[in-house]
Amino acid sequence: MQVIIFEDYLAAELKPVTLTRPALGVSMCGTNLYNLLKFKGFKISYIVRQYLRDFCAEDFPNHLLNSKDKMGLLFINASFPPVNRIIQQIIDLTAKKKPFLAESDSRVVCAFFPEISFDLNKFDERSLTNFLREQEYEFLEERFPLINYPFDIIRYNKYYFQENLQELIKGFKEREADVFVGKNVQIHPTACMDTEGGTIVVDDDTTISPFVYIKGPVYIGKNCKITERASIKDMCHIAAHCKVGGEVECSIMEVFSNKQHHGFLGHSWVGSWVNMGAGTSSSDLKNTYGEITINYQGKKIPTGMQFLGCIIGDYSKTAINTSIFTGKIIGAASYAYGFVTTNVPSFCNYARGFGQVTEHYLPAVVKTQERMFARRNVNQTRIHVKLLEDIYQMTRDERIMSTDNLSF
Amino acid sequence: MCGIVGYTGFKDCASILLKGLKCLEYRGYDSWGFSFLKDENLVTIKKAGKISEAEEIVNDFPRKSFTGIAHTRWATHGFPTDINAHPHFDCRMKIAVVHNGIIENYLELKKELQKEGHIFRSETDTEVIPHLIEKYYQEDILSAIRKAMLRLVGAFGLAIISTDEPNILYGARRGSPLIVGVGDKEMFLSSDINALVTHTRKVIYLDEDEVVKLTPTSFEISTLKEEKMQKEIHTISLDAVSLGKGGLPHFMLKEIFEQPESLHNAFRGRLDYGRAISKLGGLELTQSEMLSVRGIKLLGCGTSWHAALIGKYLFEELARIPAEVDYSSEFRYRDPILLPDTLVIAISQSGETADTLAAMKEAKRKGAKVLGICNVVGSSIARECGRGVYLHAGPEIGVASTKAFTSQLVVLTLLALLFARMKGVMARREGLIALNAIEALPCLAKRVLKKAEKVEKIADLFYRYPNFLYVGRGYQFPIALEGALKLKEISYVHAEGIPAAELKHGPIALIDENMPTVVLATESNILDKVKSNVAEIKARKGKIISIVTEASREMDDLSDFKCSVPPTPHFLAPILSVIPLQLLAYYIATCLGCDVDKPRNLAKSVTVE
Repeated sequence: MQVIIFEDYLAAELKPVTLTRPALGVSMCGTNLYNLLKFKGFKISYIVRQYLRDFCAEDFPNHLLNSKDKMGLLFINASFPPVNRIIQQIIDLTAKKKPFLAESDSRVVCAFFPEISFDLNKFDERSLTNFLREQEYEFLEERFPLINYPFDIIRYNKYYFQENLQELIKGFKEREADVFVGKNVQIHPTACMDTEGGTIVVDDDTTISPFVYIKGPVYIGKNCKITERASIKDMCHIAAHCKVGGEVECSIMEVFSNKQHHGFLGHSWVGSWVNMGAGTSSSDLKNTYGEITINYQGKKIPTGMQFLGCIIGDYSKTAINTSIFTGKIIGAASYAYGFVTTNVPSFCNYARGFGQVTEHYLPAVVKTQERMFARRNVNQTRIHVKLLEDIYQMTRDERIMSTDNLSF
Repeated sequence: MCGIVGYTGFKDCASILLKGLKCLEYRGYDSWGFSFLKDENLVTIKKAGKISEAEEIVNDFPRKSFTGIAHTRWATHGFPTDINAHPHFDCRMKIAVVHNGIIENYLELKKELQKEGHIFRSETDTEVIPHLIEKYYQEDILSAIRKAMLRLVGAFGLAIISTDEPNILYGARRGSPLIVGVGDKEMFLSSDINALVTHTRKVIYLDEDEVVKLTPTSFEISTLKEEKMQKEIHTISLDAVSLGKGGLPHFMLKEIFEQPESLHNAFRGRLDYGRAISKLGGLELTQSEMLSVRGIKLLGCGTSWHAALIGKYLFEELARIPAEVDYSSEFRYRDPILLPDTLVIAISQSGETADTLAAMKEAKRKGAKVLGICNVVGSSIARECGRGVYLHAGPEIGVASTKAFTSQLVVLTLLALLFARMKGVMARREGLIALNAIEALPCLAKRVLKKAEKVEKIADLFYRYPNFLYVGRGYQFPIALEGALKLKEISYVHAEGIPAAELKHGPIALIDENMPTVVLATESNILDKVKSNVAEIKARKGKIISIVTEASREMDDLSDFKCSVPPTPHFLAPILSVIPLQLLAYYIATCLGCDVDKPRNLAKSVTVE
């Protein structure tokens, strides 16, 4: 059986998270959807938005399908949270060799056809779902979770983290009770690994500095550096090549991001190539202890969550002592200074406290990318620059439309 | 929906085409036209009106023409006039094209071609096709047709002739039907088999994006990539042919089964994913006029009134605009109050409904902006209001409205979505969900229709009952009314539609084991309430036929019989759940031996007040 992960017509609406990455590559619960399915031994093909195809080809190889053969195909929505138990439940359903389809929230979640001829190149994120709906199948009664809003990433990460880690520890060495490590991991003897709340996984080549406190369940990716006296707690997913210090709780950091210094990050999602200045803190609880609403596409959406920090898009930076209010979304490639009391559009210099919100022009972002990449020995290629150009154009409306109530 | 027929052979083609066209008249009858190849020239006759009523045209036909094309039209773009009738031509009148379908991107193509100097004669979408072929035509007309097809977005079945290639007939299709008839030293093209059966029973079904080149003795079928295709020749049995009804015993059943296609035509080219909004061409309202609308008044009669009632729910929930519904006949004679900035929407399949026309004129007299939703292009209501949205459902011949109703619901949803997004009360994400769900309707409708046999079995068990109740809540309440009306209209069985919660305020007194109830119980936030209403019926030994969402077990304990419809957002559920009710009414009527297409005392369009 071959697995096809597909982005549907709503995947792009998870911006800024999916502005620069396919939904199948969003990190949470110690993995992402692509890697989880790969971990389970599947050959994976995928359908993602056109402009991302070149960019993600390296990190996520797209296995070619032979369109003329009729074979068993399992389609999984890229916005599916990467939860091993639920994925396994779907895989088990395919054993009956009967076609099925499941929908949640008016979206196709997954579909299985034991015999179908399918040409990957014929479909895009808009046309595929209705192609699936046209086939012969049974509707599944089950309602599966889907990431509908950016804050769902935080919600599901928290909910499924520990059970997922139990599966992902296979292949790691148990260094001490419930602490699993990869190759060449250095954990300073003064570091405290507290596994009372759950498992801790530290991947290859990562360094944990003196006096660090880690409270599981936590996943720390490859080649990370956790700086002195850092406190990483409860359902944190730190992806590869991150440098992390200060206090981080129940948050996700994507690859190559830095939060080296003191300051609190809680119930938040931070994209790739983000740098958070010393003292940057995010609020994840309202003074009223009430439900957090977010401003999303011009409407206030109740999240149903009492704890929710911020969402920060790729390439964004925060200055020293930036304070991000509860449930705020910072777009991609924006610089924030002072108090962040509203959403921040992509490609903005946001110093609202000083009365200044201006556009952050593309050439400056490209230059900064080049400097950041050089520090991490990454080559800036045409594909990287093209992606910045694309998302600059795609987020133009955000900047035009943002007035007092900045929203996406 | 239109009908096309083409011929090349050694017989005089005029009478063959005329006879074929008459067989296709059920597909459209507002205008007709012929083009013949005669002595390296095109001879064309085309006119507004019904082909069956066109007398003595045979006298105008050229003699000894052996290749020609013909068309009977059902207008979608441009009024039914002589000029808009097909065939349409290139600038030099060398290429003639007849077309069945809709070209979605014709406006941009037309602008492009006009810029390049092409002269357009009609208001149709079709005319871009001969001009496109002319643009790409160098030596080989076949490759010009392929290049033109690559530029077209939409649905089409085409028959094409050119003065440069006498005795050759070209055909092409995407979305719309087109079949090749293989005769003895003659070849045919037709929208369906009806036009062919008197000449040949050997046919080839063209697949999507295939082009065919026909000479009297050969056919050559190829794809857009110039791959030659080997096609099977099918021999059709005579019992598959039932004039105009596509093999089905009644127009009503045929129209019920046409809904996947008619639903598609109702939203074709009207979904704008980029802006997560619908786009409707004929509104003639500026953005500021739309934003200033503070109330909506919907007018209709019969089934259109039921559509209007769902329109009220749509406008109020999605667009947050207060909406009221009136029977057209009641609106006119009570000196109605129309507040400033009220938009009046008049709904009529035929566009000729006398009550609605009069009510609309009254609204106009009072200074309201009036918008029409009609199926028939150029009808009185369409002309009178000057702005409107067409259903593009194709001719509806069965007296009980089926496909026009579901198309009306699609158009009303598109309108509500347009207002909702324009006013900013609907987030982009919600707009996208609505667009995708609308786009899914044709395949979901097909899924419902596949279960027609189950409805037939239910009808077999229930047709002897003299009374029926239909209940529903929210968006499904108007469907309860519509289901009951369908049953009354064609089977003469007494039926009532009521809001489920109203049962306990009176009608529940009617319930006993002889009063079956049809319950609309698809998934929604009030399904629990519906369930408790149904439990009250069950407790009184009433038989329950329920319409439920697939894979939902909520109604299992309460239902005697279930029909399921696929999941869709609650505001689109009526479009799917009315289909089993249409089928139920149809099968009960046929069990009772009623004349489904011509029910007693009823006329298709009511042109008297």
